[in-house]
Amino acid sequence: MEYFALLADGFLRIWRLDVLLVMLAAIPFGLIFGIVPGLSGLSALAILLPFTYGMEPLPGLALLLAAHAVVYTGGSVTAIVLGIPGSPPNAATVLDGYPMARNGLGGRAIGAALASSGLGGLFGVLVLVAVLPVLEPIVLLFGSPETFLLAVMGITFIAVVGEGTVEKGLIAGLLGIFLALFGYQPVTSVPRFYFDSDYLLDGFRIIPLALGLFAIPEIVGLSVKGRSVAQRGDAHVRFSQVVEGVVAVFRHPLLFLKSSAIGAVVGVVPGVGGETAPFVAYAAAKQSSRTPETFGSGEIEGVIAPESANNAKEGGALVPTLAFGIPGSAGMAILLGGFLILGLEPGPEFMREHMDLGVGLAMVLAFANVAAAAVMILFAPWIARITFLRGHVLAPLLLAVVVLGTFASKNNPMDVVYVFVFGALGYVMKILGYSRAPLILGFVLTGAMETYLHISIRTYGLFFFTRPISLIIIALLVLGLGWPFFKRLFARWRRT
Amino acid sequence: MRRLEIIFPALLIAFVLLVVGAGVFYYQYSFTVMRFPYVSGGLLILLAGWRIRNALAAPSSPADGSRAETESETAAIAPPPEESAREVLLTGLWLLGILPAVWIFGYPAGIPLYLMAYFRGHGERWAVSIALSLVALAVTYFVFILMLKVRLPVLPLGFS
Repeated sequence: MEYFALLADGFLRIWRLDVLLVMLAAIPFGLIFGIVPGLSGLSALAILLPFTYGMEPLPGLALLLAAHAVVYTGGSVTAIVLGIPGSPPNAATVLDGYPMARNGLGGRAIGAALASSGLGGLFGVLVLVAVLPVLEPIVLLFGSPETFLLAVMGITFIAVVGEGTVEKGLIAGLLGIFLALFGYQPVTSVPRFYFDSDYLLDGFRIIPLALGLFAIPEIVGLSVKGRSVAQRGDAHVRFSQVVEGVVAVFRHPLLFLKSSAIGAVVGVVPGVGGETAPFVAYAAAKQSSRTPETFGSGEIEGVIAPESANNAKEGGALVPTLAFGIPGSAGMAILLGGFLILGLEPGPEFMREHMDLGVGLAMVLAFANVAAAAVMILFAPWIARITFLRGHVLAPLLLAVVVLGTFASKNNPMDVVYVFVFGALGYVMKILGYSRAPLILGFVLTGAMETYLHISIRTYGLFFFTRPISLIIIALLVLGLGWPFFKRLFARWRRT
Repeated sequence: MRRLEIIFPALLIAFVLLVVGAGVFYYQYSFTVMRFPYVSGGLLILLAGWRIRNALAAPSSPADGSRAETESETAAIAPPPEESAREVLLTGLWLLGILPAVWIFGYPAGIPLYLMAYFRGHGERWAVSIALSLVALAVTYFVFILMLKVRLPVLPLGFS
């Protein structure tokens, strides 16, 4: 009963003027970042991060979460119209969405993608809301050793599953951890590796790091390309077809529910979410279809499945983020940075003290998903034209926002300089195929990890990892690290 | 690009050694302070060394039994499409130009001036360049200075 009161309170909280205003500003921002290929959802989050300074927790987090929630909704339109995923998780939508567009059914595919995105997002929120009260007692079983190991598991999983080879992912994660070691050490308060620089006393900041890693390489890419992306396709979309696509989702309720459930469950696993969930949902849809041979040639089920999973996974990804402070995806890692900026530390304590805020965030996610889908369904024929914006125009404008936002966060010009330093690092990592997500996750989690390790050793001694839950996490960790090996073994076994 | 595959992890190793070395020999931190740098730095050095070894071995042994790994290696080593090193360098210099612009002219004037120079330098028409620069000026003033109350340096050379 108490939880229902909390839910009602959370629902009412988002109808505050400031929360509504930031969500209304964030939704088009996120949609544009989703629609324009090369601008990822992570760039959107990174660019918005400085604007949360000085805000109250709910509006600040609503700004980030609303933009993040709708990126994939926008990205589906580009995947269908141009055959280029607006953001990486939309790649699975290209498989059937683009052939549909080439067959003259682009509007239908867009309608189906938008409706399943919006409803999938809503499904993810329902899972989150259902799981939060159940999680509270489970979270309390997790002490310092388990939370430390869970953080290690999150970084490892995102490194193993992300782009590039496993060793590159692990190098990125460790580099993130190492960069976070500059500045005051959390246990002893000794200023570490500050090289007699006042700036480094507080260590590297999350905002220049996130903007440098995720925004600058995309801005360079846009600027080098120069021209607009919409050249090989016609961004013409018919509204009547969009409505047909929306109706099609309701004609496949089981497929929608199954794909959304896959998305939500995959999203819960720390570090895995991302591009994995839509492809798993696509494969499951193909497997259970009566006509699997038609997949890849313009089957509407091949659009509904990945798009439902895509948005549902964000609700799932919020579960480990809120409950353990371990982000379920790279986007959630930047969101965790937002929590820290606002003076909040997700985890067991957060679940006890700020459950109302957790529920409020679930409501923000629900509102953003439904509003974005509605806006896109109504204006899809016009919004798709954003893809005609030229890189030469977009790149310097984004750069100006990055520079202003970075300076605004702490009024420190050195932050602006570090954006470019980390931008160079991000660009090199991008062209060499190093995933940047483990780096930001390692950076964000290191402070808590160091504290938890210290407490674990002081409390339980060097063998702190022999507690039952710790052993389960270690087993999962080994399984995750060995995943590429098991995958190869399984593929070889299937071939023979 | 292959050279960069070796140089990048080598630079990471040098960076970690420099920082950990400073902690041990210059600052003489206690073990509690250095525990995390030892572990993360040590693992980073090991993996970066392994990466260099793999990059050096790549031409002579193109496949090590892992199809997925070989594919991603190839993708990483191949130069990014449509982006030549010269183009990227030139673009980087254009983008870096915003730093002296805001330092010399202050943020409210420096950003529109930089945008104007960028657009004109990339062949945009005068009308488009002026219009977008004016929009940037308006956004800087109304959003950042008036709404968000950011104390942007408005005078040249960082004076506010």
